[in-house]
Amino acid sequence: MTIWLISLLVGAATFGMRLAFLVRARRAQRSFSSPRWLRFVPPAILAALVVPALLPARQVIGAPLTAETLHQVLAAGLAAIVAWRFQNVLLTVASGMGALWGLLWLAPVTSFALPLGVLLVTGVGLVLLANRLLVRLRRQQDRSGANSPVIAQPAMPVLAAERERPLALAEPKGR
Amino acid sequence: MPITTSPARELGAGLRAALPLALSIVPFMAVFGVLMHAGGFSPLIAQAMSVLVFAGAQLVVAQMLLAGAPAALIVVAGATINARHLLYSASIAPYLCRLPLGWRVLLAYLLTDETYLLSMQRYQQPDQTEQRQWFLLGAGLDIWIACQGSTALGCLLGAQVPVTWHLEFTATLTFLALLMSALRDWASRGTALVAGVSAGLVAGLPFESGLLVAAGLGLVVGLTLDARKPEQREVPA
Repeated sequence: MTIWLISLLVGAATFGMRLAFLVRARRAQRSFSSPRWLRFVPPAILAALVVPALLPARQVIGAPLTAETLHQVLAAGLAAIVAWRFQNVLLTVASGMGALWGLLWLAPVTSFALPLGVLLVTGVGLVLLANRLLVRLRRQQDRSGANSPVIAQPAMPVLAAERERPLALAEPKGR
Repeated sequence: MPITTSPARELGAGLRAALPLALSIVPFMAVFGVLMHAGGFSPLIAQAMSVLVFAGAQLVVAQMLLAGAPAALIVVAGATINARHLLYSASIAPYLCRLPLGWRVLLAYLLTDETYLLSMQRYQQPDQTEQRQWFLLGAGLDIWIACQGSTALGCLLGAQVPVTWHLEFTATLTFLALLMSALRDWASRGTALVAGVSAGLVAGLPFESGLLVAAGLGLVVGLTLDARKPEQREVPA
Protein backbone atom coordinates (compact mmCIF):
# COMPACT_ATOMS: atom_id res chain seq x y z
CA MET A 1 0.00 0.00 0.00
CA THR A 2 2.83 2.39 0.83
CA ILE A 3 4.19 2.03 -2.69
CA TRP A 4 0.96 3.46 -4.11
CA LEU A 5 1.27 6.38 -1.70
CA ILE A 6 4.90 6.92 -2.74
CA SER A 7 3.97 6.88 -6.44
CA LEU A 8 1.09 9.25 -5.86
CA LEU A 9 3.12 11.71 -3.79
CA VAL A 10 6.19 11.75 -6.07
CA GLY A 11 3.87 12.02 -9.07
CA ALA A 12 1.88 14.88 -7.55
CA ALA A 13 5.06 16.73 -6.54
CA THR A 14 6.54 16.31 -10.02
CA PHE A 15 3.38 17.42 -11.79
CA GLY A 16 3.02 20.36 -9.42
CA MET A 17 6.55 21.52 -10.19
CA ARG A 18 5.98 21.10 -13.92
CA LEU A 19 2.81 23.16 -13.73
CA ALA A 20 4.13 25.74 -11.24
CA PHE A 21 4.98 28.46 -13.77
CA LEU A 22 2.46 27.42 -16.40
CA VAL A 23 -0.68 27.55 -14.30
CA ARG A 24 -1.06 31.32 -14.46
CA ALA A 25 -1.65 32.86 -17.87
CA ARG A 26 0.27 36.06 -18.39
CA ARG A 27 -0.23 38.96 -20.69
CA ALA A 28 0.97 38.53 -24.25
CA GLN A 29 3.46 41.41 -24.36
CA ARG A 30 5.56 39.92 -21.57
CA SER A 31 5.69 36.55 -23.22
CA PHE A 32 9.10 36.79 -24.87
CA SER A 33 11.06 38.76 -22.29
CA SER A 34 12.66 35.67 -20.77
CA PRO A 35 15.44 36.28 -18.23
CA ARG A 36 19.02 35.65 -19.33
CA TRP A 37 19.73 32.90 -16.83
CA LEU A 38 17.20 30.57 -18.45
CA ARG A 39 19.62 30.01 -21.32
CA PHE A 40 22.00 28.28 -18.90
CA VAL A 41 19.44 25.87 -17.48
CA PRO A 42 20.10 23.07 -20.04
CA PRO A 43 23.92 22.96 -19.73
CA ALA A 44 23.82 23.32 -15.92
CA ILE A 45 21.21 20.62 -15.31
CA LEU A 46 22.60 18.19 -17.89
CA ALA A 47 26.18 18.46 -16.62
CA ALA A 48 24.96 18.02 -13.04
CA LEU A 49 23.06 14.90 -14.13
CA VAL A 50 25.84 13.34 -16.19
CA VAL A 51 28.89 13.67 -13.93
CA PRO A 52 27.52 11.99 -10.77
CA ALA A 53 25.97 9.25 -12.93
CA LEU A 54 29.49 8.34 -14.10
CA LEU A 55 30.73 7.99 -10.53
CA PRO A 56 29.75 5.02 -8.37
CA ALA A 57 26.84 5.67 -5.99
CA ARG A 58 27.65 8.10 -3.16
CA GLN A 59 31.22 8.53 -4.30
CA VAL A 60 32.73 11.92 -4.99
CA ILE A 61 35.52 13.18 -7.24
CA GLY A 62 38.91 12.49 -5.71
CA ALA A 63 38.04 9.08 -4.33
CA PRO A 64 40.19 6.27 -5.79
CA LEU A 65 39.08 5.19 -9.25
CA THR A 66 37.42 1.81 -9.49
CA ALA A 67 37.53 -0.25 -12.67
CA GLU A 68 33.80 0.30 -13.21
CA THR A 69 34.10 4.07 -12.96
CA LEU A 70 37.05 4.04 -15.33
CA HIS A 71 35.09 2.02 -17.89
CA GLN A 72 32.12 4.36 -17.66
CA VAL A 73 34.27 7.50 -17.86
CA LEU A 74 36.14 6.17 -20.91
CA ALA A 75 32.92 5.08 -22.64
CA ALA A 76 31.35 8.46 -21.88
CA GLY A 77 34.45 10.22 -23.19
CA LEU A 78 34.16 8.41 -26.50
CA ALA A 79 30.41 9.08 -26.61
CA ALA A 80 31.05 12.78 -25.93
CA ILE A 81 33.41 12.97 -28.90
CA VAL A 82 30.85 11.18 -31.10
CA ALA A 83 28.11 13.53 -29.88
CA TRP A 84 30.26 16.59 -30.56
CA ARG A 85 31.28 15.39 -34.00
CA PHE A 86 28.02 13.91 -35.33
CA GLN A 87 25.22 15.62 -33.31
CA ASN A 88 23.29 12.35 -33.31
CA VAL A 89 21.68 10.97 -30.15
CA LEU A 90 21.26 7.38 -31.29
CA LEU A 91 24.83 7.18 -32.58
CA THR A 92 26.07 8.62 -29.28
CA VAL A 93 24.17 6.07 -27.20
CA ALA A 94 25.22 3.20 -29.47
CA SER A 95 28.91 4.13 -29.43
CA GLY A 96 28.90 4.67 -25.65
CA MET A 97 27.22 1.34 -24.94
CA GLY A 98 29.48 -0.38 -27.46
CA ALA A 99 32.56 1.06 -25.79
CA LEU A 100 31.31 0.12 -22.32
CA TRP A 101 30.53 -3.45 -23.33
CA GLY A 102 33.85 -3.71 -25.14
CA LEU A 103 35.74 -2.52 -22.08
CA LEU A 104 33.78 -4.80 -19.76
CA TRP A 105 34.47 -7.73 -22.06
CA LEU A 106 38.16 -6.88 -22.29
CA ALA A 107 38.68 -6.17 -18.59
CA PRO A 108 38.83 -9.79 -17.29
CA VAL A 109 40.95 -10.86 -20.26
CA THR A 110 43.63 -8.26 -19.83
CA SER A 111 43.07 -7.45 -16.14
CA PHE A 112 45.00 -4.23 -16.51
CA ALA A 113 42.18 -1.77 -16.99
CA LEU A 114 44.25 1.26 -16.05
CA PRO A 115 46.98 1.01 -18.71
CA LEU A 116 44.28 0.05 -21.20
CA GLY A 117 42.41 3.19 -20.28
CA VAL A 118 45.48 5.35 -20.68
CA LEU A 119 46.13 3.75 -24.06
CA LEU A 120 42.56 4.36 -25.14
CA VAL A 121 42.62 7.98 -24.05
CA THR A 122 45.88 8.50 -25.95
CA GLY A 123 44.42 6.78 -28.99
CA VAL A 124 41.26 8.84 -28.93
CA GLY A 125 43.34 11.98 -28.46
CA LEU A 126 45.48 11.09 -31.47
CA VAL A 127 42.38 10.39 -33.58
CA LEU A 128 40.95 13.75 -32.54
CA LEU A 129 44.21 15.52 -33.39
CA ALA A 130 44.38 13.80 -36.77
CA ASN A 131 40.75 14.70 -37.40
CA ARG A 132 41.36 18.35 -36.58
CA LEU A 133 44.42 18.43 -38.85
CA LEU A 134 42.44 16.80 -41.65
CA VAL A 135 39.62 19.30 -41.29
CA ARG A 136 42.08 22.19 -41.34
CA LEU A 137 43.83 20.75 -44.38
CA ARG A 138 40.53 20.27 -46.20
CA ARG A 139 39.48 23.80 -45.32
CA GLN A 140 42.77 25.15 -46.69
CA GLN A 141 42.32 23.15 -49.87
CA ASP A 142 38.76 24.42 -50.24
CA ARG A 143 39.98 27.96 -49.72
CA SER A 144 42.80 27.72 -52.28
CA GLY A 145 40.43 26.04 -54.73
CA ALA A 146 37.84 28.75 -54.31
CA ASN A 147 40.28 31.65 -54.57
CA SER A 148 42.27 30.52 -57.60
CA PRO A 149 40.25 28.35 -59.96
CA VAL A 150 42.70 29.17 -62.77
CA ILE A 151 45.61 27.45 -60.99
CA ALA A 152 43.44 24.55 -59.85
CA GLN A 153 42.34 23.58 -63.35
CA PRO A 154 45.63 22.81 -65.14
CA ALA A 155 46.51 20.30 -62.40
CA MET A 156 44.61 17.63 -64.32
CA PRO A 157 46.78 17.39 -67.48
CA VAL A 158 49.96 17.43 -65.36
CA LEU A 159 48.73 14.43 -63.37
CA ALA A 160 47.77 12.59 -66.53
CA ALA A 161 51.21 13.18 -68.08
CA GLU A 162 52.92 11.87 -64.95
CA ARG A 163 50.80 8.77 -65.03
CA GLU A 164 51.77 8.00 -68.61
CA ARG A 165 55.53 8.36 -68.19
CA PRO A 166 56.26 5.41 -65.85
CA LEU A 167 54.04 3.17 -67.96
CA ALA A 168 56.01 3.99 -71.08
CA LEU A 169 59.27 3.24 -69.22
CA ALA A 170 58.00 -0.01 -67.77
CA GLU A 171 56.96 -1.53 -71.07
CA PRO A 172 60.36 -2.00 -72.69
CA LYS A 173 61.85 -3.26 -69.40
CA GLY A 174 59.32 -6.12 -69.28
CA ARG A 175 60.30 -7.39 -72.73
CA MET B 1 3.90 38.70 -37.21
CA PRO B 2 4.37 34.97 -36.66
CA ILE B 3 4.14 32.63 -39.61
CA THR B 4 1.07 30.42 -39.47
CA THR B 5 1.63 26.77 -40.20
CA SER B 6 -0.75 23.91 -39.73
CA PRO B 7 -0.93 22.09 -36.37
CA ALA B 8 -0.26 18.84 -38.21
CA ARG B 9 3.10 20.10 -39.45
CA GLU B 10 4.25 21.21 -36.00
CA LEU B 11 2.99 17.93 -34.51
CA GLY B 12 4.91 16.00 -37.15
CA ALA B 13 8.05 18.04 -36.48
CA GLY B 14 7.76 17.26 -32.76
CA LEU B 15 7.20 13.56 -33.39
CA ARG B 16 10.21 13.39 -35.71
CA ALA B 17 12.50 15.42 -33.44
CA ALA B 18 11.81 13.29 -30.35
CA LEU B 19 12.02 9.91 -32.05
CA PRO B 20 15.78 9.31 -31.45
CA LEU B 21 15.39 10.38 -27.82
CA ALA B 22 12.32 8.16 -27.38
CA LEU B 23 14.32 5.20 -28.70
CA SER B 24 17.25 5.90 -26.41
CA ILE B 25 15.12 6.06 -23.25
CA VAL B 26 13.67 2.59 -23.98
CA PRO B 27 16.56 0.61 -22.39
CA PHE B 28 16.60 2.96 -19.39
CA MET B 29 12.89 2.65 -18.66
CA ALA B 30 13.06 -1.09 -19.30
CA VAL B 31 15.58 -1.25 -16.46
CA PHE B 32 12.96 0.41 -14.25
CA GLY B 33 10.48 -2.34 -15.15
CA VAL B 34 13.11 -5.00 -14.51
CA LEU B 35 13.95 -3.50 -11.10
CA MET B 36 10.30 -3.36 -10.08
CA HIS B 37 9.90 -6.98 -11.20
CA ALA B 38 12.97 -7.95 -9.18
CA GLY B 39 11.52 -6.22 -6.13
CA GLY B 40 8.41 -8.38 -6.39
CA PHE B 41 6.10 -5.51 -7.28
CA SER B 42 3.21 -6.10 -9.68
CA PRO B 43 3.43 -4.80 -13.27
CA LEU B 44 0.33 -2.74 -12.46
CA ILE B 45 2.11 -0.59 -9.86
CA ALA B 46 5.18 -0.23 -12.10
CA GLN B 47 3.00 0.98 -14.94
CA ALA B 48 1.03 3.25 -12.63
CA MET B 49 4.26 4.86 -11.42
CA SER B 50 5.36 5.43 -15.02
CA VAL B 51 2.05 7.20 -15.69
CA LEU B 52 2.01 9.19 -12.45
CA VAL B 53 5.67 10.22 -12.16
CA PHE B 54 6.78 10.06 -15.82
CA ALA B 55 10.37 11.13 -15.07
CA GLY B 56 13.84 9.68 -14.67
CA ALA B 57 13.51 9.81 -10.87
CA GLN B 58 11.47 6.60 -11.08
CA LEU B 59 14.67 4.58 -11.32
CA VAL B 60 15.99 6.11 -8.09
CA VAL B 61 12.63 5.45 -6.42
CA ALA B 62 12.77 1.83 -7.56
CA GLN B 63 16.37 1.45 -6.34
CA MET B 64 15.47 2.93 -2.94
CA LEU B 65 12.40 0.67 -2.70
CA LEU B 66 14.59 -2.35 -3.34
CA ALA B 67 17.10 -1.16 -0.78
CA GLY B 68 14.26 -0.93 1.77
CA ALA B 69 14.53 2.82 2.39
CA PRO B 70 11.77 4.45 4.49
CA ALA B 71 8.83 5.76 2.46
CA ALA B 72 9.19 9.40 3.55
CA LEU B 73 12.84 9.42 2.47
CA ILE B 74 11.92 8.00 -0.94
CA VAL B 75 9.28 10.69 -1.48
CA VAL B 76 11.66 13.50 -0.48
CA ALA B 77 14.46 12.13 -2.68
CA GLY B 78 12.12 11.65 -5.65
CA ALA B 79 10.72 15.16 -5.32
CA THR B 80 14.20 16.69 -4.95
CA ILE B 81 15.52 14.99 -8.08
CA ASN B 82 12.48 16.18 -10.00
CA ALA B 83 12.77 19.74 -8.67
CA ARG B 84 14.61 20.64 -11.87
CA HIS B 85 11.19 20.62 -13.54
CA LEU B 86 10.57 23.91 -11.73
CA LEU B 87 13.35 25.41 -13.84
CA TYR B 88 11.92 23.83 -16.98
CA SER B 89 8.48 25.18 -16.19
CA ALA B 90 9.82 28.68 -15.54
CA SER B 91 11.92 28.79 -18.67
CA ILE B 92 9.28 27.46 -21.07
CA ALA B 93 6.40 29.46 -19.57
CA PRO B 94 7.02 32.60 -21.68
CA TYR B 95 6.37 30.57 -24.81
CA LEU B 96 3.25 28.81 -23.60
CA CYS B 97 1.53 31.27 -21.27
CA ARG B 98 -0.97 32.48 -23.88
CA LEU B 99 -2.51 29.03 -24.33
CA PRO B 100 -5.81 27.99 -22.72
CA LEU B 101 -5.55 26.28 -19.33
CA GLY B 102 -6.31 22.83 -20.73
CA TRP B 103 -3.33 23.01 -23.06
CA ARG B 104 -1.03 24.30 -20.33
CA VAL B 105 -2.00 21.46 -17.96
CA LEU B 106 -1.51 18.84 -20.68
CA LEU B 107 1.86 20.27 -21.77
CA ALA B 108 2.99 20.58 -18.14
CA TYR B 109 2.35 16.85 -17.72
CA LEU B 110 4.42 16.11 -20.84
CA LEU B 111 7.30 18.41 -19.77
CA THR B 112 10.23 16.02 -19.31
CA ASP B 113 13.99 16.53 -19.69
CA GLU B 114 13.81 15.48 -23.32
CA THR B 115 10.69 17.35 -24.42
CA TYR B 116 11.82 20.51 -22.60
CA LEU B 117 15.23 20.56 -24.28
CA LEU B 118 13.82 19.86 -27.74
CA SER B 119 11.08 22.45 -27.42
CA MET B 120 13.45 25.13 -26.15
CA GLN B 121 15.71 24.48 -29.14
CA ARG B 122 12.68 24.76 -31.44
CA TYR B 123 11.19 27.84 -29.79
CA GLN B 124 14.48 29.74 -29.94
CA GLN B 125 14.54 29.51 -33.72
CA PRO B 126 13.43 32.62 -35.60
CA ASP B 127 10.53 31.08 -37.56
CA GLN B 128 8.04 31.04 -34.70
CA THR B 129 4.44 30.03 -35.35
CA GLU B 130 1.17 30.32 -33.48
CA GLN B 131 0.99 26.52 -33.43
CA ARG B 132 4.08 25.93 -31.31
CA GLN B 133 2.17 23.94 -28.67
CA TRP B 134 1.76 21.11 -31.19
CA PHE B 135 5.54 20.61 -31.33
CA LEU B 136 5.75 19.95 -27.59
CA LEU B 137 2.67 17.72 -27.82
CA GLY B 138 4.28 15.65 -30.59
CA ALA B 139 7.57 15.29 -28.72
CA GLY B 140 5.68 14.49 -25.50
CA LEU B 141 3.64 11.77 -27.20
CA ASP B 142 6.81 10.10 -28.46
CA ILE B 143 8.43 10.13 -25.04
CA TRP B 144 5.24 9.10 -23.23
CA ILE B 145 4.61 6.10 -25.49
CA ALA B 146 8.27 5.04 -25.27
CA CYS B 147 8.20 5.39 -21.48
CA GLN B 148 5.00 3.37 -20.99
CA GLY B 149 5.93 0.75 -23.58
CA SER B 150 9.41 0.15 -22.17
CA THR B 151 8.11 -0.07 -18.60
CA ALA B 152 5.76 -2.84 -19.75
CA LEU B 153 8.62 -4.44 -21.69
CA GLY B 154 10.88 -4.37 -18.61
CA CYS B 155 8.18 -5.96 -16.45
CA LEU B 156 7.66 -8.66 -19.10
CA LEU B 157 11.33 -9.44 -19.59
CA GLY B 158 11.98 -9.39 -15.85
CA ALA B 159 15.04 -11.29 -14.82
CA GLN B 160 16.02 -12.03 -18.41
CA VAL B 161 17.89 -8.71 -18.51
CA PRO B 162 21.07 -9.15 -16.43
CA VAL B 163 22.41 -6.21 -14.39
CA THR B 164 25.80 -6.65 -16.11
CA TRP B 165 24.39 -5.17 -19.32
CA HIS B 166 24.41 -1.73 -17.65
CA LEU B 167 21.37 -0.67 -19.68
CA GLU B 168 20.74 2.24 -17.29
CA PHE B 169 23.92 3.80 -18.73
CA THR B 170 21.91 4.69 -21.86
CA ALA B 171 20.19 7.47 -19.89
CA THR B 172 23.55 9.04 -19.02
CA LEU B 173 24.63 8.80 -22.65
CA THR B 174 21.38 10.40 -23.83
CA PHE B 175 21.90 13.33 -21.44
CA LEU B 176 25.52 13.53 -22.57
CA ALA B 177 24.40 13.85 -26.20
CA LEU B 178 21.99 16.63 -25.23
CA LEU B 179 24.69 18.30 -23.14
CA MET B 180 27.16 18.39 -26.01
CA SER B 181 24.56 20.07 -28.22
CA ALA B 182 23.93 22.69 -25.50
CA LEU B 183 27.60 23.82 -25.38
CA ARG B 184 27.32 26.36 -28.17
CA ASP B 185 29.26 29.23 -26.57
CA TRP B 186 31.88 29.75 -23.86
CA ALA B 187 29.41 30.86 -21.22
CA SER B 188 27.47 27.60 -21.64
CA ARG B 189 30.70 25.60 -21.53
CA GLY B 190 31.74 27.34 -18.30
CA THR B 191 28.31 26.65 -16.85
CA ALA B 192 28.52 22.96 -17.72
CA LEU B 193 32.09 22.64 -16.42
CA VAL B 194 31.32 24.19 -13.04
CA ALA B 195 27.98 22.39 -12.68
CA GLY B 196 29.56 19.05 -13.62
CA VAL B 197 32.61 19.30 -11.37
CA SER B 198 30.62 20.58 -8.40
CA ALA B 199 27.97 17.88 -8.93
CA GLY B 200 30.79 15.34 -8.71
CA LEU B 201 32.12 16.96 -5.54
CA VAL B 202 28.78 17.18 -3.71
CA ALA B 203 27.38 13.84 -4.94
CA GLY B 204 27.12 12.63 -1.33
CA LEU B 205 24.64 15.29 -0.17
CA PRO B 206 21.41 13.94 1.38
CA PHE B 207 18.16 13.54 -0.62
CA GLU B 208 20.07 13.80 -3.91
CA SER B 209 20.09 17.57 -3.45
CA GLY B 210 23.58 17.84 -4.95
CA LEU B 211 21.97 18.20 -8.38
CA LEU B 212 20.27 21.48 -7.48
CA VAL B 213 23.29 22.89 -5.66
CA ALA B 214 25.56 22.11 -8.61
CA ALA B 215 23.10 23.43 -11.19
CA GLY B 216 22.71 26.63 -9.16
CA LEU B 217 26.49 27.14 -9.07
CA GLY B 218 26.64 26.52 -12.80
CA LEU B 219 23.92 29.10 -13.47
CA VAL B 220 25.80 31.73 -11.42
CA VAL B 221 29.01 31.06 -13.37
CA GLY B 222 27.15 31.18 -16.69
CA LEU B 223 25.61 34.54 -15.85
CA THR B 224 28.96 35.92 -14.69
CA LEU B 225 30.69 34.83 -17.90
CA ASP B 226 27.78 36.19 -19.92
CA ALA B 227 27.93 39.58 -18.18
CA ARG B 228 31.68 39.86 -18.71
CA LYS B 229 31.53 39.41 -22.49
CA PRO B 230 28.33 41.08 -23.63
CA GLU B 231 29.46 41.41 -27.23
CA GLN B 232 29.72 37.63 -27.66
CA ARG B 233 26.30 36.93 -26.17
CA GLU B 234 23.90 34.89 -28.26
CA VAL B 235 20.69 36.85 -28.67
CA PRO B 236 17.69 34.57 -28.18
CA ALA B 237 15.04 34.98 -30.81
